[in-house]
Amino acid sequence: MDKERTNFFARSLKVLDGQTALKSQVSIESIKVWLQSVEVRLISALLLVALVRGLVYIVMVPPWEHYDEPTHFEYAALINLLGHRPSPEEVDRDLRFAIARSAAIHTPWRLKEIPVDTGDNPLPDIGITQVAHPPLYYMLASIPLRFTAAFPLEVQLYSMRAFSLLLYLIALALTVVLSVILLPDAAALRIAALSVVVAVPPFTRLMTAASNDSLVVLVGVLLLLIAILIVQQGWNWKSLLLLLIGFALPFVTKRTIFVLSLVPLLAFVLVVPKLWRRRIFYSALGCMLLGLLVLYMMPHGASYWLNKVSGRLIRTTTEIVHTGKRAVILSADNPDDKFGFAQTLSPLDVVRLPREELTVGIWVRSLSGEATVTGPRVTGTEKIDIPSFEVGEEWQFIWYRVRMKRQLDIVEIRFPAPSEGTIIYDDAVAVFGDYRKATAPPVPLDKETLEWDGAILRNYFANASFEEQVPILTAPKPLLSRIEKILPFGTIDLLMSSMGDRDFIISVYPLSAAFLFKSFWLILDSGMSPESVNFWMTIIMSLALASLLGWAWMSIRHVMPRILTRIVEPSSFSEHQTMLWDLVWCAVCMAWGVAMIRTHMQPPWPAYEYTFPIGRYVYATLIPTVFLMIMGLGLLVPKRWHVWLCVGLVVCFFSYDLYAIANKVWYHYVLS
Amino acid sequence: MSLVKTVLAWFRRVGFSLQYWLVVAIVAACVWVLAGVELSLNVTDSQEQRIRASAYLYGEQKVSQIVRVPRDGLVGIDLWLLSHKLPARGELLVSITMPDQDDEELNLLAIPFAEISNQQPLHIRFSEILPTTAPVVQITLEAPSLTRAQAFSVFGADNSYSYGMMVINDQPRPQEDLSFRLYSQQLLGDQFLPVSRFASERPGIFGQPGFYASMFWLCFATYLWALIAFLRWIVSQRHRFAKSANL
Repeated sequence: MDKERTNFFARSLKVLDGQTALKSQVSIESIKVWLQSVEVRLISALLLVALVRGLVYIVMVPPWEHYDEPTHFEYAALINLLGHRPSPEEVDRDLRFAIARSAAIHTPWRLKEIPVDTGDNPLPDIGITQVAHPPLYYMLASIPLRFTAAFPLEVQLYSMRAFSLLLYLIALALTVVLSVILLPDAAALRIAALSVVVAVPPFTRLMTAASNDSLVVLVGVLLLLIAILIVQQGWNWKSLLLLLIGFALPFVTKRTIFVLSLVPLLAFVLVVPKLWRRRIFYSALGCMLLGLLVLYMMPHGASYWLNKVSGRLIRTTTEIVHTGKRAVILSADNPDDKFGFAQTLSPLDVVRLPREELTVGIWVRSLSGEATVTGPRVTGTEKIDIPSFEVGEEWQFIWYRVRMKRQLDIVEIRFPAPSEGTIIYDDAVAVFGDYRKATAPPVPLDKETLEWDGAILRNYFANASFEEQVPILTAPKPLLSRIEKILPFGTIDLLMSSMGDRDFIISVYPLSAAFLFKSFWLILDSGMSPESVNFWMTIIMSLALASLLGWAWMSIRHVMPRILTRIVEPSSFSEHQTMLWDLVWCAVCMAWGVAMIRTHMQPPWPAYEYTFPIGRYVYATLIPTVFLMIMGLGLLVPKRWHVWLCVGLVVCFFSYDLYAIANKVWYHYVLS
Repeated sequence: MSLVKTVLAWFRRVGFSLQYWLVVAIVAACVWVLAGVELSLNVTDSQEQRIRASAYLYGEQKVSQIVRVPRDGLVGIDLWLLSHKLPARGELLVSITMPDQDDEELNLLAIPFAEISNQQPLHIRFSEILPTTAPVVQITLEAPSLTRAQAFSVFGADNSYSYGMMVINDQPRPQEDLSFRLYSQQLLGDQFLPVSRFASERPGIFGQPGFYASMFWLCFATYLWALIAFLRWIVSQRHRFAKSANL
């Protein structure tokens, strides 16, 4: 059995030797034969299943139900309307109200009432704007919207979902190519891999949503293929071109996957002839990680030497924005029954204030009642009740200490409505926010008065500043911040932002991993009973553990002896093919690592944990992850059992898929 | 007849794949049509206790019941009315409005007294009201042509319906409810899938319940097709089973 397993591994990791590999193995004749094979018919049937299932998901999931779908749609629709990428301030009033009306009808949990446009009322809140995202997906998605612009909004949304479905199908087609390259001599594993990818319900759900995540998945597969092509091509100008394309793709796709740019870069480094030895590969990888760590740990990096700035920095805040990020005007006759504002802490700010006690300060006048400070939104909500206060006619600065336990990207200060106890004595109340470390005194104010919107306001925060003193080891990363300023999309800060509280992350690391794993594999909807959640998780976790066992077994049998005996290359072992699997591992580990950095769940988990789609952060590498799982299982069992393994996986995942569809129908259309 | 024979002969000649998908398409069309066939009305909510005559209908008297519109829509209501002397002429006026918006009348019906029976509850049928259009409606009865001697008794009970209340002459009676049954329209497709709910408030073809039934049928047929392909693939891998059997 061992011999057979060894041979299988040698065959399945067959040499694709540089330029000659594809030419010798993938001849035109062999392609023709393969295309007429039963396997291709099965692959076609699976792709057909994916298409029809995708269409069913498109019409089955209620309009606007997907994560942030209204704002994703609005972004694409605005590009279609305006003809250019909209700025955050550019909003089409009619479009916004139309989306809100439709959302209120189809997904009442988003909006409790159907909004009516009276001409001067505030725009309805349909979610967090997506305009900050790179525009590639939205520009492409605006094309179908052009053809359906005359139809009702729901039809337009379906056309955008259909565009995502198209990306899904392309990603699946690339999966087939990837399976042929990675598993050239294991037809059963190829079928198993494609079947699992097709039948993972949350994946299909995400890939049929009007969201740039579908492009993320496609780019994830594409990057891996590019990396493989670079390895196949070797060190030449074509590889350089591929590298440039591969490096740029994530930056025009989504900020969350910029780290995957390193995959083609790694491949490019690997194909330097003298670096083809695997130990060199590991050394290069280690050096790269070490370099990043050093950059991260540098207290003040280059900026220290350039600016001679020590531990004290003064930074001005942005000016007042009428739309209210930093300031809102509340008046006694405010028709909007909400009294509050959200203060977004930019990632850079969070970096500079790691795990500290903050003071959230507000200037108030003529107000009494209780207030709450909440944050963050991304990883759950921390609510701090502020005791009752009463402020007279004079402006008063009130500050509250907030202990940052988790990633804190938005601080929200909210006063209850007048009906709930807040009293507004005067005709206008201004609330301005700023934040600083608790040790810093209230900021000096630049101006005494400001006339705005008919109200004379005093002591406003037009140009406030805060000071910070940072300990050396948890210092910000000015060097990276400087790089960040050169980059167009603010990616580095976004990722580094949550590393400020890494001590805390480490303490909840296992829980975060479990949470990611669950939301990765489980359907992104409520409605699944705890029993069914446990049932499917037990099955999938068993498969994952078995797969890891398979990889460990392979390592013990083949890699460890090589390391111990310093044998560079056994004759039956393919350096190239192994390198490809190394790339798959790297891509998956990078994506999971970044997602781990961004995930800060701690018990008790919220009741909606299964609806909280953090796992989608890793979907850029869902397909490579499935390949790793299938390959691991393939390594664990002898090859003659692979057909049975494939049958078992198909039965398992398609049962899960059918259950998920039934559950979705039940949840959306029967239960509520 | 010869055309049928020709078609059948052609059908026999074409390959299995085409045969399969032709059958699937024909069945899908049938499913589409059949799913939209209306069945009898379905009681979706009710308050059927009849303890006393809660109100009398005559002259300027107005009797109303506020109800929550069921998720599947509201197409009819049963009310229990009793008259000791059934009048031959005149009409019972039934208006359906939204309680918060008095001016917005969703339906106004006139039912001849001759159609009202003491033996059966009064069944009132109207065009469908969807909960997204009007989550709550007020159904008001008036009989202006009747005198007190001809008045109808309208039956009701204590407050046993938690989503609404009785209103008499615009005066809310939170502790009382009329006796009623609310009806929604059921389709044949709803017996298997909630196709009416799928189609609710969706535009064009997406508003057709049959469309969803056909989609699910197509999905089922595709799974079946994949299963056939999978079985054929397993058979093609039989040499591996042979090896396995030799162990």
